[in-house]
Amino acid sequence: MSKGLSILLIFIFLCVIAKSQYTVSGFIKDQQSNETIVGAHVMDTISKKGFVTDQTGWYSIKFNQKAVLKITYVGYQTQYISIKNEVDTLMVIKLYQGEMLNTFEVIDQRLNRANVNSLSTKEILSAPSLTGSPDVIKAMSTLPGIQMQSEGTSLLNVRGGSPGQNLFLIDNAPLIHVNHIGGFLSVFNPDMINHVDIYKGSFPVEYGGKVSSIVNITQKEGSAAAWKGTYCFGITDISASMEGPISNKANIIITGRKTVLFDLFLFASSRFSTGGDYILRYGFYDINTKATWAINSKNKISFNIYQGDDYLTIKSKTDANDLRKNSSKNKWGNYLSSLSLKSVLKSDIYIDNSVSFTHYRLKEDQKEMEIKNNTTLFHNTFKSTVSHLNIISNWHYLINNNWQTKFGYNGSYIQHTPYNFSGNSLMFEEGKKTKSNWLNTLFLNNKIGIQTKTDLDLGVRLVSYLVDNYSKYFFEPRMQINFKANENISLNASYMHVYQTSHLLYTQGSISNNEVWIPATENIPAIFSKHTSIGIHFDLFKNIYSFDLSGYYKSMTQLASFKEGIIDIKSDMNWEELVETDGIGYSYGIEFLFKKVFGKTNFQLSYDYSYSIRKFNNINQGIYFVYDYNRPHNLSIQVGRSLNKKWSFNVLWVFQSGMPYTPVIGRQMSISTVPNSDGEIYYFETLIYGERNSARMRDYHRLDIAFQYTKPTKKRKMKSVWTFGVYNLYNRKNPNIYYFNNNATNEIYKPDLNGDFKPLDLYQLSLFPIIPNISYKVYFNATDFNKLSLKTLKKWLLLEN
Amino acid sequence: MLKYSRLWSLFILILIVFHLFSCRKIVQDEFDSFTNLITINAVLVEGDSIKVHLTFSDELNDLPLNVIADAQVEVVINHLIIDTLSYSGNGIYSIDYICCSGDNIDIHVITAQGKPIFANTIIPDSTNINATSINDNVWIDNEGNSQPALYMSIKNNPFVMEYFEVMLYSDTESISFLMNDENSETDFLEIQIPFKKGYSNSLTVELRAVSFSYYEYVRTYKLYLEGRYPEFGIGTVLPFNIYSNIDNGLGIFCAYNPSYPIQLQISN
Repeated sequence: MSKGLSILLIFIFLCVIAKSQYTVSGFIKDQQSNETIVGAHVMDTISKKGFVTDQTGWYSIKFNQKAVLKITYVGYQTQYISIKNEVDTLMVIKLYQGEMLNTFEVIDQRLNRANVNSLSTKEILSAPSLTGSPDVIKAMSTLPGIQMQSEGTSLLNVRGGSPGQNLFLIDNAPLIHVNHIGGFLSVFNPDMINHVDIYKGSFPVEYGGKVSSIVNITQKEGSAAAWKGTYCFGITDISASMEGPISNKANIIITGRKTVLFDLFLFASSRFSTGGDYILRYGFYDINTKATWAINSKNKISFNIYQGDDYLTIKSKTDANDLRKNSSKNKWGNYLSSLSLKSVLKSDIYIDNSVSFTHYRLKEDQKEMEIKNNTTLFHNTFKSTVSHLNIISNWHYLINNNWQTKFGYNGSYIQHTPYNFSGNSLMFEEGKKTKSNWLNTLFLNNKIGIQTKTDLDLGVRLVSYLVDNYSKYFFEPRMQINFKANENISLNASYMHVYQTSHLLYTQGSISNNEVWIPATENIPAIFSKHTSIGIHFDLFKNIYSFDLSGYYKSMTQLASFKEGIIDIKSDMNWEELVETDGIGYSYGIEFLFKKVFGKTNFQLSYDYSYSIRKFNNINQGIYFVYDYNRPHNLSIQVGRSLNKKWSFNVLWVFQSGMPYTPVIGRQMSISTVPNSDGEIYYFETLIYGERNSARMRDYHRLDIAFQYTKPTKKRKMKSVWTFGVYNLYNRKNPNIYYFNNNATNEIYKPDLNGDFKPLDLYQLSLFPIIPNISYKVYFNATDFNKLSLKTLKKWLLLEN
Repeated sequence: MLKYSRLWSLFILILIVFHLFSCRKIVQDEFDSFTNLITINAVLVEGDSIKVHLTFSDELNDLPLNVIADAQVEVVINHLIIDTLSYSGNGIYSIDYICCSGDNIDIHVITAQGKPIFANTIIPDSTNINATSINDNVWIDNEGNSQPALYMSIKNNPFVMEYFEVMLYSDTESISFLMNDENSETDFLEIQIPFKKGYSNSLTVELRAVSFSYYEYVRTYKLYLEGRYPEFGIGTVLPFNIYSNIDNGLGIFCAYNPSYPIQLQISN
């Protein structure tokens, strides 16, 4: 074994020892907007060695002699750059939008990244959605291995994992809560997004802390050329964005969304209805700002602020006869601020530093006032919060074209407060229970090219975790190997260990937010996962089509869940006692993705088979059960086409196996322990359930269609886009829940209260039949902006020419 | 608090989307075959005679469950007295023996259709209410009104695991509150139970010392109800089977020892 290892090390050393003479490095950007391009391919046409730009658009290649660089990216014209001066060069390369089909050639297949799916802004904007507004997470759910938890939510299950096992990063800063309106929309405003990478396995070594996926969202930096913006009216919200240069070195982008019609409808319907006793307000908002300052050609600073909340207010209607009024205010969401510094230290050393602070809170405020004296009778506040201070320093060093290394430090200070109560209720214990924990991580990754056909990624993370007086050390090895079989076929395999030091506890089926995060403690250990995957990638017809096939196996131990029967812990000081620990989970599956991305017609066929199970000692009698949201077969077909300059359409068909549910296998008599009104004990029928999740609901499928009509206005030269869509075009009644009843109304028959016998049937509740939607978006630019006046504003809004 | 949360969740649920778009319909699904088992139901009460209810369980169909009228039912009390229960109709078998604190009671049921089934319970020792009072303005109900809670102190033996149920009867509701002394090392257990004021200004309180099987039966029955009748949009407990302590069968054979009920006055 040791002899073999020595030979391998010598071999690797010989392969990488020949150091190149000079380095060409820099950033790839969009020529028009100056936004960085993530995932662009930069290749040395002679050696066929290549590089994929990272989240910052960075590339770096070494040469021994004069060379020609070839830069390609989907939707952009291929560019060739001749390197004449054999000296270290820092070069910003700008790509022009537009496709040149004739110039496509086979690129280095090793550039294909296994276990990661990417979405560009264009793909996000064109995907049909429930509300007509584009949504990142809805677009992600069309990719293999990524499933929505249930229809209408934004909770994701990746490769059999749970929703709390996904790390969402906005420019390297973690975001904790990602839903608006109970999951109808995600918190990510598409106007702000440059690129999305979803790692389903083989995580980059700088990321960790969640065991199922890393969703890395790169935000735009804002146009450096000229001011421009958008505004949009949709069913759920209105949104607006502005971006442009502050100076010749700095630019900014601001986006915001808010519910308007939705909120007003609820307010008006509850305020003026005669039946209800309450006035309701419900809505969400989010605002996001990012400012970027290029200090010089080698250093760039970015500052980002995000705040997004959902809110719900209920106030009692009062009149002259009322003595008291009461209200309940609920708010939940995130606050995030981050500062990052990206520096090119040398032409082959690039550093990405950032510090961020994220705060998630779930707050419920109850108040009762005496109207006459305006005095507070009753005031209770429940809060559940997470505060996360994160620092990361990530160094990239290109030793030579066969050896790239990444290393750095990631430190986190996290405060979990699942329970925080203040008020004058005798029912709840006043105070809070906070757990503070420290996570310190050192990481190192070496990407080594072995001859010309193989790339080996060897990485390791050393993590120390400290909470109260409990400390643990985690060792997380990561390995990935890519082998280029020929110009069109590449194979890959990967293996990794990941630990997760927090657990998300939530109640399924709840429309309001009840997501409570708890830290790993001595009694609730950190989740540990081992993940193995293999894959093969084909490029067909000069890269116009691509085909991926992959398989994975994942084990998870030390999972946590609510104890059976518990649905909430934020109102219990002793929350640790309500948590079931030491759960075990396994999942495996295969994934298939066929894609055509060039030309007027885009096509994507995605399929995955997955199986995921769980076991807890005190749940389901300690027997393994199918994971609550496991759907074995998932198929989606998406077709998009530009019909002409004005019209384009997208069609999406989704098929999924039915959700698992726990079936009824029989009936029995039960006895009341409380006498009825006649003072007698009585008997009633109850159901006998089979094993947890041992049956499946009906299969889920639907067809969505969206048409986009783009109309430039004549005088203002603004672009306006109408989106007309239909969700669930053929009105499939997909099951959301199953339940037993003796009639099809909302009223559920309760034999234990009635005491009589009525036969029961199995019913399904469907939520989303055919739903048409519409949105209207206007893009304006600097010319329009300079002419801004009330008159022109009116013309913009009305689209008068 | 939870009820209050549920209220607004329910409003959101109905008003936003689901009331407009939801649809309910019958689903035809096939379930695994089910073997009918004998179901025993008996809650023995200190100071009362023994009554046992016997039925067959069945698969989910359109027929009522059948009572068992031809079983041989025997009780063994404190491993000494063996007697046979007589059938008194509607699936009920009874005997005149009056249950006493500490009685260890076994039951054997033999029928022509299946294996003999067994169960056991012990009548718990009595307990006393040490002190009670009513605290006003403790919580807010769904209508936004302040409501009171009952404070209670119960005599406790810290060296023995004990289980209790407190029953509150008002003119609007009856509340069952379960507790045990697992984490208590004192001679008294103190609890606070929220309740709603009704039209009457009196409240009846009954304390039951219950057997472990009774405690588990009531606890799991409450969880069963949560899963059985999910309030959609609020968050549901997954389906939950009711606890059974019957060998080779289904149902419950348990006991409790009640205290004398106490009447309390509620201020308006």
